[in-house]
Amino acid sequence: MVVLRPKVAFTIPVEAECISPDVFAARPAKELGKLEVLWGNKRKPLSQLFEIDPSGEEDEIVIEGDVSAVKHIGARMTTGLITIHGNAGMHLGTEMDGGRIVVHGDVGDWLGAEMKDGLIHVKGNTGNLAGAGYRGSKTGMAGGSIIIEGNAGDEVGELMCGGTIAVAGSLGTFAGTLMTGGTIVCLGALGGRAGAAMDGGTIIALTPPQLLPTFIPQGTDRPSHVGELLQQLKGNGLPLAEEQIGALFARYEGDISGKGKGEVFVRTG
Amino acid sequence: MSLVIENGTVYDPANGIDGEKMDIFIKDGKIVEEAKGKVIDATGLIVFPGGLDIHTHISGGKVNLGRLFRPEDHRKDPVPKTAVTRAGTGYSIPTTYVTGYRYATMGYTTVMEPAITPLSARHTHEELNDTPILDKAAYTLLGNNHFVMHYIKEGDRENLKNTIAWFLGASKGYAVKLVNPGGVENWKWGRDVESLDDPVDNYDVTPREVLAGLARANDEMGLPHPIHVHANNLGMPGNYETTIETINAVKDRIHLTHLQFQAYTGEGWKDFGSGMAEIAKLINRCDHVTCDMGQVLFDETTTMTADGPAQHHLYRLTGNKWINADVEMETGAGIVPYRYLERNPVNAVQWAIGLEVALMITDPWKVSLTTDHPNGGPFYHYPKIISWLMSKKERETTLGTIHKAAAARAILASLDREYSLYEIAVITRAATAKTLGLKGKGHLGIGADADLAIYRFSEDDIEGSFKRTVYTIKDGRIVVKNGEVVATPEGKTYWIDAGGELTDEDRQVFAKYYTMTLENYPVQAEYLPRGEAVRCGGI
Repeated sequence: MVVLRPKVAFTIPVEAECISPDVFAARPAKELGKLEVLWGNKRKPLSQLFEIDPSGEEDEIVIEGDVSAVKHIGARMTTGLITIHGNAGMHLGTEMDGGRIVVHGDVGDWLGAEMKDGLIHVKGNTGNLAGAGYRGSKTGMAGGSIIIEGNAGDEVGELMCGGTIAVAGSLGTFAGTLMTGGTIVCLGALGGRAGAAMDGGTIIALTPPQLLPTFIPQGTDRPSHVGELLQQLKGNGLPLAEEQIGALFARYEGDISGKGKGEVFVRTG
Repeated sequence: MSLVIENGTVYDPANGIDGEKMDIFIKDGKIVEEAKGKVIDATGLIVFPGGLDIHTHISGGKVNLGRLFRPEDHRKDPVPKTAVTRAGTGYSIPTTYVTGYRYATMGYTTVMEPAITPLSARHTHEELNDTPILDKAAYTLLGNNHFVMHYIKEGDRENLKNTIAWFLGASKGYAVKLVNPGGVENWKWGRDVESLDDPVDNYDVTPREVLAGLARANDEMGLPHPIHVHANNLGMPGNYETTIETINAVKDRIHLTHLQFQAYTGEGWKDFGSGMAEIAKLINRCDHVTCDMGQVLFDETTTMTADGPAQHHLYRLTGNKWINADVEMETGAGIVPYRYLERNPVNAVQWAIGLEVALMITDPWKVSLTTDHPNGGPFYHYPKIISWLMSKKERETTLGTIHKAAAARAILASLDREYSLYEIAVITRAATAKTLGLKGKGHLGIGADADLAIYRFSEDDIEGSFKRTVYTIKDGRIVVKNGEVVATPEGKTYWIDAGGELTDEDRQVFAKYYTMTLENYPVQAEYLPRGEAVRCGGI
């Protein structure tokens, strides 16, 4: 385990892709301080910005303090655990391919963008575009799970093609826009235009939303796979009540302005 | 400022120098007989004239649209600033500054933007001005121009030349470019042309007449570069016949650009193969034809051309995102991202055909090395192409990893020819300069521009040898040292000053149909702060 404590209050952004269990595991503990980060437009050693306290062998990184100006923590990680006691910055866990990130605080935009595998668990709120695809990409998140106990911003899960995003609070507008696969679960209010232009995938809304007119109702049911997924998410820490898990859902198909192969489940009772 | 380059092994095909140890003297930006100054010890190094690229899409409306709609392309290739260079991005559509730096690092000092529409020529020149180090010029799209087709139909040769001259001056262009003559005009009505004798809607002319008319006018005007032709049916199976017809349709000089894309046999994609045998046979017999390769590489890139219908075809094939543009009265454009795959039989055959262009045309003076950047792949891959041309072993290694169609449906596997350094200097320097009619470029004779590339050459790593220079010298100034850009002077922009004036009738048409007034149309001299007017035989 390595504990990182910020030495300074960051006023300008820091790019710290090196804060990843994969990178840390490849180096002896005493050399971790030499890893390079970008502080604004200047290259600095990690030790100049963080107090580094290695203890033990497990590939866990613990960050104690506010790192909301530090971007790209855990980017492309494939294994291990990062625990952040504080707020974290943009691009946390982007393109990650395994391992776990737990944040006891809020996170900025682009959380887990284009991630392929692994689990991100955020106890607070997150910004926009969690699990989305970067501008110009054909696909966003392809696998793994993002669990957000607070609220999330706009365009969450845009272009996603696999994996699961579960939000206990509310979602902003355009959740699941252009998605082709994967699942978005929202316990609170689902924002406007959810699933716009979706060609596949599933959105599960436990609070009845205002859907686009291009989603066509297909009847009401208690789908077992939805119940199973919610049960599993509850096991992963999403605060779900039993009546929510076994609820009755109205099923919609859309977005029929495109292929119309996506589905939205809306809790009706 | 003077420089002496001592004891290098010099390759200067234009002056018949093939690997001779000699000293080169530079004074005030030119090669001179004798000078005293800073000495560069080139012992063990090879000295080439600065490289020239005859066809590379680096500037203008279409290129910039490509930049705008491919953020994912830039994300994979960020370029930080240094003490002398600016920050930017690659990859297939690099920023103007990165374009300049990367060409210079490879030893290139002169590049040609091959497609400007007069209507957006200002944009092209603004970007060329921001492309550092290199000398530049741009070709003006005239193959689907209203006035050109009108005068060809009328058979009014004097006014045709007058029009060409005026448009070259108005766009500050250097050569006459044709892209799918007639086809792009028809595309505005949802059609294309399929042969040289297909009529062009509303004009009552054929592609054959446009080709022959422009080629003849071009040579009568004494323009330095032949007509620069992207022929009809680009990228279509069986199009080698169109290419042969195109060559036969003109009696005057013609430059066939990215010939690889024009040399396909087959009825469809299943029996797609190489048609270079027939084309090479014809070009080897003709003295009026030059060409460039249009090599493809197995990489992801962004295809862009004024050939709207061809790009629509590619969009339908790939399902990728697509930009289509109509440029009133003048031309069109299309952009589609594309990835050439080693395991794709068509892409593998395309790769082989590109190399066949250089290997089967016997006279290297008829060939220039290009990828039609970025259509076949980014220009950074030129060193890889040089390694394929210089080494059969390199070609066999690649043939072993790609789809077997490349060996079965192209002739490449049976070709033993290997380029020498002298011939590489021909197709990347001397021949290109000659085809462009740039007398001060592509050679190291007395009075030539002091543009040089000095490499450390190793037979075992041809690609690495040409990737970065030990020195690149531009106008007598060291701009790259040991692969790092050390200075970024501004280059010149050549354009043709041949006079020309619109007739009263033309002015009326202009006022009626253009969205811009004539007074605001021509690019003013201020847009080319380092412009260099080239006067031609003229009218």
